[in-house]
Amino acid sequence: MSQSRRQFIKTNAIAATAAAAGISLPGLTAAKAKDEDDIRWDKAPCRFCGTGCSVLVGAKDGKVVATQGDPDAPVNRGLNCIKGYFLSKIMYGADRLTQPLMRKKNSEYAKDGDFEPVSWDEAFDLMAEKWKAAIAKDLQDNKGKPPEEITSRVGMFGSGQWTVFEGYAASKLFKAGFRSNNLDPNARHCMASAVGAFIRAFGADEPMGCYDDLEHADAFVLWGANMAENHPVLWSRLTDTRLTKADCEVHVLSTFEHRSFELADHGVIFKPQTDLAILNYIANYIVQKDAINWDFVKQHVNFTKTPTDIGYGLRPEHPLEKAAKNAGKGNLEGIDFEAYKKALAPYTAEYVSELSGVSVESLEKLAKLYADPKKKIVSYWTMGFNQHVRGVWVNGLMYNVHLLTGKISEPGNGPFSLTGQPSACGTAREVGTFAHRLPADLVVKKKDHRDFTEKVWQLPEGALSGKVGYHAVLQSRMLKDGKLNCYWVTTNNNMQAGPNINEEMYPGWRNPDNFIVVSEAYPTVSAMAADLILPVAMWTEKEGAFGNAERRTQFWRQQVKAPGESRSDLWQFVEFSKRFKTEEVWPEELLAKKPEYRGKTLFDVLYANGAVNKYPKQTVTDSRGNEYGNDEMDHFGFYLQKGLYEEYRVFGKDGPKKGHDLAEFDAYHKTRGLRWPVVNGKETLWRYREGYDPFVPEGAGVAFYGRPDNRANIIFAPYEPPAEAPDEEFDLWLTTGRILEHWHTGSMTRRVPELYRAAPDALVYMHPKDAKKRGLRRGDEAKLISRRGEITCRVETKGRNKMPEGMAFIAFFDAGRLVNKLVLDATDPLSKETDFKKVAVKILPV
Amino acid sequence: MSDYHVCGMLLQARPEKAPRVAGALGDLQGVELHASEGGRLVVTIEGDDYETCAGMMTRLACLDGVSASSLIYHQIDKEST
Repeated sequence: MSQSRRQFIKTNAIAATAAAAGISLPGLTAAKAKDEDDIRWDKAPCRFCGTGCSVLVGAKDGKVVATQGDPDAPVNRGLNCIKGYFLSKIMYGADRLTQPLMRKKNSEYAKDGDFEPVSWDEAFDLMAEKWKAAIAKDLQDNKGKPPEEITSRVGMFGSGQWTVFEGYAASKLFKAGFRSNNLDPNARHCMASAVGAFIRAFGADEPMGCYDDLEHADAFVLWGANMAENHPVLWSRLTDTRLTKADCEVHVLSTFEHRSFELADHGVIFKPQTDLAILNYIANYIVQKDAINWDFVKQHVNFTKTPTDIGYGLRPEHPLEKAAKNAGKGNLEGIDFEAYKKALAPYTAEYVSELSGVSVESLEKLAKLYADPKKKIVSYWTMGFNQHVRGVWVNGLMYNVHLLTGKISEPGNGPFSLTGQPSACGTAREVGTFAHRLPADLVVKKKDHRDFTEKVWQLPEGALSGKVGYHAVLQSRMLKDGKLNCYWVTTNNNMQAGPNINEEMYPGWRNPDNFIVVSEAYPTVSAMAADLILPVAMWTEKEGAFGNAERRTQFWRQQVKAPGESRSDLWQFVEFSKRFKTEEVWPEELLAKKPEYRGKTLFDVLYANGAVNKYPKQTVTDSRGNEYGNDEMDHFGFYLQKGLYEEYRVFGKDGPKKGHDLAEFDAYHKTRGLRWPVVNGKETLWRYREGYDPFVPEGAGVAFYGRPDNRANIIFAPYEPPAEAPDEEFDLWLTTGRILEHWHTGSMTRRVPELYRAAPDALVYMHPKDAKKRGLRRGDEAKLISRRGEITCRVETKGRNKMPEGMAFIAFFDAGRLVNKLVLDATDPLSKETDFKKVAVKILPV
Repeated sequence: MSDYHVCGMLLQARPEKAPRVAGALGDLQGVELHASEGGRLVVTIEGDDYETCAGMMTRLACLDGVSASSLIYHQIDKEST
């Protein structure tokens, strides 16, 4: 009986898989019977990477018991990767935090005490006391200053994993409530260079294309992305196109050979940092062969150049910064085509081959591909470009190639920046939770942008600071220097993910002048380095919204309750706001402009403002009549998520930057997401192209309307060397990254026993000859030492990554081996994103 | 009788590498190839627990010649009591 049942189940597995593969197996049909009818299934976007797969979440008896790829999802079409497969287990790790924990000695808060459980009231009382003391000093410091000079001692490090609602609520609390622009997301570490380049070239953030390009292109080029491991579902779609489309080509560029090389028709290994030179060579080839799409270039493109010798985003007293002529500068200068041509001229095949280690033949192959007017090409990149001391430049050089050839903003043609977090786009970028941004591409520096924001948020004029706040790396430095004193870290694990832990991060967190709060679900490295830990609700324990890399906004309903006293970040931000009276955070001259706000709390002003609390409590249901909880709605008495979203939507609809329109709140609960701009219920697949994008005027063909002249910028930038490179003592390159089984710092995936056991420890991948030279063999313990710290791990010379000589790789998921102790906090001086890819180390036997 | 897990996996390989992948699958316990066409391989993994299946899934993903791997189907038949 049972045997035949198992045979039946297996037959179903075969039939379903064959159907997904498009293979017909005679005599096999899947009987898609769900045995366990008492499981309630509902859609939700995956909690991990920026792909934005939709999964079906099965809940039973208040617990998520299963997940599966959502067959109705346009992104993943029923496919799932191994991390997605184990989503149901991320919330049930044995060490889940369920109550606030405060460092105490003799029943009192003490920075050098041990963690003890406390109530939410006690936690928030202490937080509010610390915050108020710091803000009282801010009020003194800022006396008589105009908005452009307002500074703050309080800050928050947020996340590309926040829901849209959480990012928006945090932005209001800090930027408006506390008048602090010291709000930055961990997306600074992964997407800031992409953002900088989008704004410089197109005047608007985020890609013009979408995932449909995966089926439309004739050729794919990966520039510093290991999609096979880190975007496996997109990779599966790309593979399918490669295997089914005649003459389709895949080119993979990297500093070492990884899993994506399996599919490559052309694999290219280049020396770190030389991608700058390779891209200039390709542009030079296009110019020299006159393969320029002149119709496109004449109508839609400007030629410009960027200042050079711009330093490495280190502390100003660092010798490299002192030596830089134009440290941190990025103002573009218009040039003509001849000047651009002349600037490219040194980038010959021979010179670039010598610099990059790539053969002339290989370089030409790439250049020919981009120059061929008949080939539709998509270029993909992730951290290889972004975590780069010239990240904005290298992103821009990629755009140059697509703009010269006009291969952009149409099906199958375009540059596409992939993202690593589920809502790096939807929350961090679109809501604008960066130190310099406001929602929908607005920035704090521009008065008209602040004016619009103050109007939507119903703030007195001049409430928002016009001074850019501390970005991620600067936050660490300012904590260490005692200038940032209250710090709230949520939905990220920066003590593991941030750079230069020993010298620049840990000292600031443990600085006695500072108070550090971490909102977390698990006792991560960051949580354990804090003074107060607040337990959070995760993923489907709350209602949420993410925005993926192709501008797709996706919603989900709360499926289950969070354990113990865990509360969502949204609840935490909004509830905390009740502890501040306007008089305690704003100066008298501001209150005088809105006297009705006197005596009110920040909760009254920011959230119970008539807009956010507009939608009354209701029952959340799906189309089948299932009912869902909403703990925030129950607690606050109104539909908080809907109110926040509808207020936020005004920025896209009526804001100064066009093309950011979103659909109404309710629409998203009914769809598998919509790609913005959404106009009259219709999503936009290719931006800036007439016929696809409603903001392009009739007859224009193409309009890069993010910029005042509707033209995109080609920006010349040269090759410049990295901040550090191997020398006699530190004689190897070390690059860091991710692997298939674990997501980022492993806070969630390492708590899934199956994933933990599949890849328990980070390994250092080396060339066998490099290992042998150092007296090491596969499996040996080795010491990795940089100028900043050391760690120990096992050597791997085989397996999924094949290193060239002189290069080593280690993933950063392993809390037992904090690889970021080794990494220098050198950033792109324009984007302030750290280069995690180029560290000089020595490796020795233990 | 213990729990029974079955996973339906779609492997993708360059067609010239597909025979090599198919050959390698034969050596793996609990893994069975059901069809191979144009570089797409329909594979099942059977095992007693999540861990066995997860271990095999990552092994397949990193197998020489495999370009991409996706989980399509998973079901458990609980131990009969």
